[in-house]
Amino acid sequence: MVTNTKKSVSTNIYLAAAIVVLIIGLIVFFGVLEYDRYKRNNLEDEFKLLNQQILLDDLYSSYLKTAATPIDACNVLEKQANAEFALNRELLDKLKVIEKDAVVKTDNYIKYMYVLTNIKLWINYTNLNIDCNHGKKIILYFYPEPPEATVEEIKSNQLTRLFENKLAEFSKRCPNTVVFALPYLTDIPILNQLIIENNVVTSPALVVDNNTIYDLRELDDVNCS
Amino acid sequence: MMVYKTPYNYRFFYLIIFLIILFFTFAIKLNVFFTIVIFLIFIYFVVCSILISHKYSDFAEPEPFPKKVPTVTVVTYAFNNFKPILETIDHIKKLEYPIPFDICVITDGTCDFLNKVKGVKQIKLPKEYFDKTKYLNVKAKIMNEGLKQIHTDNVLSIDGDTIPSPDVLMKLTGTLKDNVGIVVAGLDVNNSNNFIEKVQQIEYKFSFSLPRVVLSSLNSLDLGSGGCNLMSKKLFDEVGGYDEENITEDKEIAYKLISAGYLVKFVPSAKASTIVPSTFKSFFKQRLRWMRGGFDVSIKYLSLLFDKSKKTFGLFVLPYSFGTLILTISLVFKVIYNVLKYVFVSLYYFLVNLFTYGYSFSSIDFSRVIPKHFFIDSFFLLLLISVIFSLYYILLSFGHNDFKLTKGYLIPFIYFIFIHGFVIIIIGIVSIIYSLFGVKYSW
Repeated sequence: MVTNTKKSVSTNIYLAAAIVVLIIGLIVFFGVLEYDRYKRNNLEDEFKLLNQQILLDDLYSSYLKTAATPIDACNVLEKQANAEFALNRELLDKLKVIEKDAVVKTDNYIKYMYVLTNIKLWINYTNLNIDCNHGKKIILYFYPEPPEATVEEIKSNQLTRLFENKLAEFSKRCPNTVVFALPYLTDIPILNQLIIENNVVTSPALVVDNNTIYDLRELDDVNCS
Repeated sequence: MMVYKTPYNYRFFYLIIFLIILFFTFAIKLNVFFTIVIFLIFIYFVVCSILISHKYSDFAEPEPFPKKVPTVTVVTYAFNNFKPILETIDHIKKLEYPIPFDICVITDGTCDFLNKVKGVKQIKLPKEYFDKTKYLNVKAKIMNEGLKQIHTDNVLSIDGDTIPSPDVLMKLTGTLKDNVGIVVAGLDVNNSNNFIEKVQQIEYKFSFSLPRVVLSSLNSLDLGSGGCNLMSKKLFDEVGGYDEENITEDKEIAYKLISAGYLVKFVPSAKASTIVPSTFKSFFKQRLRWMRGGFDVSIKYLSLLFDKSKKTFGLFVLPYSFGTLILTISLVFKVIYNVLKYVFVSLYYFLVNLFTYGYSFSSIDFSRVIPKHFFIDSFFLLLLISVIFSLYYILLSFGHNDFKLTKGYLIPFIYFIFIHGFVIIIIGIVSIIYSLFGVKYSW
């Protein structure tokens, strides 16, 4: 039926196009995968470095106690802890961005690394409070992790935002406050231990002065000291 | 007064389309992997087009003029004392053709000024045929009635606001042979002064080039482009002329021809220029009509989907174009839904917190929109590759159309690349909703 003086388009064209698209697809897929891996590896290295620093703090603390030249050990260690705390927070923000657009989700290795590092830092701060009598107000903040792209997530985001803003307000009122944010997860033994110890039954929740707070209005009654 | 709405049997299909969109929105979770698959589906046609354009460059050329010259009538129409038709007639008179041809203007009897124009035959039809409240598609009605009085081999149909170039008839005639029912000319924009007109000019320069050349070479062009086309009178009559119940008669007749085993072809070098809407409102109205009519045609000829006898059209072009259109609409619908859901649910809990705590310091989390750290997002990578592909395809089309982007077209071009498609898809969503709920058709 179809008669044309021009040669008709060969079906090989569709095949050639399919092969080209497949090649592009593979390049894009593995390219993105590799790029995600590269970003994660970089982040992992930063976490490892941070952990090394925290480990060194312990050694440094012992060294300072026996050092010939007396220096203000508490001051030095506090500065170290503050810097490590800020870095850990920054790495978490990076992790969130990487996870958001990852082709394949991670096995939570880096996230657990963050959680464990934060717990280590919390222990360091608590010890500093005892050893150096710093009088820091240490708050544990358990944030929820609802399933992604659900109404619960949006609801939880709002409440989390509220908690974070309220905590920021509290930190302004009491500048000696240090807040450790931890996910409300029970599958990490040490984290689960903290949740049980502090009787945290839901999230978001705050643990201040051994009291667990779910209603933010209670934070107004907490003293700075 | 007749009120034309989408027929109930069509609405059933619109319901199915709408349910597919809802399914996609609520049941399918988009991740990068799925996005890559969608991205590959979209670029497949672009890659096909690029390969075809490189390998079969002669497809864009007109066929040689036939030894036996066919008789032809140039037909246009005017009503309500439409004087700009005189300019169109002037240009029609300048058309090159080896033998004399007739010029017919279909009118409602109000264009007496045409009596003084030499060499023009007026086909006066009853005024009621031009009544938009009586006929859904006035153009289809008057063309059907007017063409009954024409008995030449071919008919060159030109809209009243369209200016043909002198060689258009010579270039179109050779291709109108054998089983070809309509040959479409490349349309250009005559009024590219403001922003929206320039955007449409860019769109016309792109679409009346490579995409149509490729579809034409695949024997799968599914649009008769009413602005300027050459029709075989015999085949026009054989398929029963235009469908007066459809608002995009040029698309419908293309499907009717394909359904009957005939073809629509495109000759890009045969040029005509037309007037495009000058305001966003009129543009929206025109595109809504095209979308609604186009969907109606697709539903009417759903049986062509996967029809082996229609070869490339039935097995590839139609399923691909219909499928990607629904996919695109679903994607845009999903994005709009998610954005609105995020904003409104956030607002709701913002208010809940406000009333619970008496004051509120929570806000919508903009950190989800603007990342704190600069990383090249994987989605962004896909977007970048898509833009590069699209740009290459568009620029290749411009090249075929001898169009060069000048300074004045830079912002309309950026809009065309990043926003225009989105606007068209939103119009598509509106058209589905309109048709589903039986909103009356309008011109």
